[in-house]
Amino acid sequence: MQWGQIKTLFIISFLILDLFLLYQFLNKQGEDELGQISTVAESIETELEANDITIAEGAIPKDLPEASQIESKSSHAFPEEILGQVEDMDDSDKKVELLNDNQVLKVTLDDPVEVTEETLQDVVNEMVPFSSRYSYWGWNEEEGAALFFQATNNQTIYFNNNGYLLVNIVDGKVTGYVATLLSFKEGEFSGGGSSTSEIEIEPLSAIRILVENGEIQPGDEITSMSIGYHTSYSLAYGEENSPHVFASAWKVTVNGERNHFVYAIDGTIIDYIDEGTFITDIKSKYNLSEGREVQSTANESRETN
Amino acid sequence: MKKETMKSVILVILIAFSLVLTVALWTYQPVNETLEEDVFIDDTKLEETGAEREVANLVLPDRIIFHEQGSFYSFRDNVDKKAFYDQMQNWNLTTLDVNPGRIDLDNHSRVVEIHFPAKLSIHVIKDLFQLNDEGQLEEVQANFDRVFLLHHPEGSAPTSYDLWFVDSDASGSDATLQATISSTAGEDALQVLENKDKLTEMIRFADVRPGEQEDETGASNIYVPSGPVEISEYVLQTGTVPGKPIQNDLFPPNTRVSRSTNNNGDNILKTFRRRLTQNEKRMEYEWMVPNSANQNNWSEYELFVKSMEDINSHLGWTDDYRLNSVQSGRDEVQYRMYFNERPVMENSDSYMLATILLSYQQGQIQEYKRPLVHFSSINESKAILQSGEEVLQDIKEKEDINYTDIRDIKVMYSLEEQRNDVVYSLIPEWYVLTNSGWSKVYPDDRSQNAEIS
Repeated sequence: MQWGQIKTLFIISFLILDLFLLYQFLNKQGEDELGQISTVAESIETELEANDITIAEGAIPKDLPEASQIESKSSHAFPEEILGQVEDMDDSDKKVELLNDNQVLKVTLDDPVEVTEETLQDVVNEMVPFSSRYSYWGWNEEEGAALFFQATNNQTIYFNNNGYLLVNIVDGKVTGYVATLLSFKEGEFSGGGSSTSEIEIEPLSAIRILVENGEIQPGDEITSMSIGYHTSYSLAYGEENSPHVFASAWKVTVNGERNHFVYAIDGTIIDYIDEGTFITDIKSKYNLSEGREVQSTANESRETN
Repeated sequence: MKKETMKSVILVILIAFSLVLTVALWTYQPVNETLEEDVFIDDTKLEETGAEREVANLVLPDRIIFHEQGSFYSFRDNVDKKAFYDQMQNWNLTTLDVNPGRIDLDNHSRVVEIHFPAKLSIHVIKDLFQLNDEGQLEEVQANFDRVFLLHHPEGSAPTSYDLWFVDSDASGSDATLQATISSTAGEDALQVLENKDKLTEMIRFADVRPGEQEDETGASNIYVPSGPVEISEYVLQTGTVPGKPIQNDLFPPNTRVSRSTNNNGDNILKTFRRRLTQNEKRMEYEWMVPNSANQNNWSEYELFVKSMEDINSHLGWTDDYRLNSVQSGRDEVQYRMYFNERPVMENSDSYMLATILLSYQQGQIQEYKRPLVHFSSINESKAILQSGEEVLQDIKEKEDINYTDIRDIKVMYSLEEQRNDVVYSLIPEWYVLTNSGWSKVYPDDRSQNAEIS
């Protein structure tokens, strides 16, 4: 064979060898990157399976939203544009009050409006000019209130005294509502650095933390998960005009009936949240009528008439 | 020809590339991105104002009493007391007995009694003395606040001395630990009794307490100097302890911190779980635990050491602080400032200016309160306080103190703010400890110190 032909043969075989090696190398690199994440996920999944804990289809959001820490403005008064909307409200059939240096809006209807689960959103949209700022949380029939929490960056702020809309519902009728609204700083955080960070606690890890702490029991089903904001500090006396710092928190709904919260930043379980207390505190603070009281005041007014 | 050269070059390149790839494949290690540590090179140490401490610096004895034939003595000068403590730390403890029974002080003509101001976990002895075998102590959970040095009872010429560790509150009950030290160490300790130059006479409370039996073991006696107490009185100026390094140490670098002020003008730093309130003189840090899971299960010793390490981590010892109490039930550790070897007590104006308090939850600092000032003397004068005898007599006449409730009597400093806010007085006063805590023996009497210079 000619030397030239041998060279051609060698070139072809080395080309094939190089392509093969390159393919192998890239494969290995890819495997390692993915491998670490998927093995963790797999191990949690097996752990959950062993504990007879199921995750409903679609319960875990596919695209992880960006977790972050956000800071509210130090003033918790309603912004000018909302105050304008409040001023424009027709007060012929209701009493409109702005309390605590314009931080709280309390509206009492002269004639309670009938409401059902289906019509609630429409009734609220009609009644509250800035209702788009809130997202629906739930209707607590026991305590007689429907709760809406303020949302920012498409994420709900769970249980904060400066960002809620509480609709008082007595015997299936809306008697009024109380609302507070947080304002958020635009742009970068005052603390410096970037305001967003990757979610440190993945959804499955959040579930595992809850399982390890006995919050989720064998036989439970995780029905949904979503990410929102929470802060462990409410504003203390003397600090009413200071900002809140919120951090991303997972809301894990179990069996469609109870919620658990876990900070997505450090995996801490937040277990002191109690919807009933949150509602009764607001109701007693702003003197919202209970069923019995309404009737007695109604009787009184009849008598005076 | 040209074509052939070209082919050779391509072949060489291909061979080289295959070699490179082979090596790369062979040696490939997944690069796990290590998170850059200490991205914040912010200062986390109080370099100028603070220092690091060890266990032995935080649990110094506050009184050393020498017994000799029914008489009692103590060091006159702090320097000698300090030298004795240094000597003590070289004692080599052997043959530990963790269940020694009752201490018997009778038939001992010479005894050294060492008082510590706080209840200490028995595990502290490995930091205070030389210990060959720590293993024996591992399972022991006991406290002590007094150490007695006695002749070893067997034989007329003692070949060794015994150390008894006693919890004085549990008077009459068993001692916590007994250990042996060499005869040289024991004799050196008692040497000072040969020539009483350095000593001053003390009286035992039980001896003047009429009709009261001293406790069975004699291990919980109170001693006061018999003559008038000559002591320095100070005027202190404050220096600022920068809060920034402490903040940097307490707040994790990746959290966002909001800054604001409250109605009192205090600065507040806040994250979603941490809050630090700070003014010119004090700071208060709080870490919110939003659940009730995983309580600490630390022993008192672990708690003490953890708190020391946490303060060391920002060199937070800005004055002569010493251990005051460890409460394992509340996971709380308190340190008190000492000046001139005496504890400094606060009043309402100087509240939290001479105390460091740390409490823990879930393995982390849950609360940290401390002063942001440190003190230095700008004037020293001599004062003379009532003698121990007078004080005992005056206490006896006081109606609000039940004679039998008294647990300790000693001279301590009161930290009092002077008018201009930056200068403080350190006034020595007699204090008495009862079940309700420390109180002044002469609460309204500022003239108890007859100034002589």
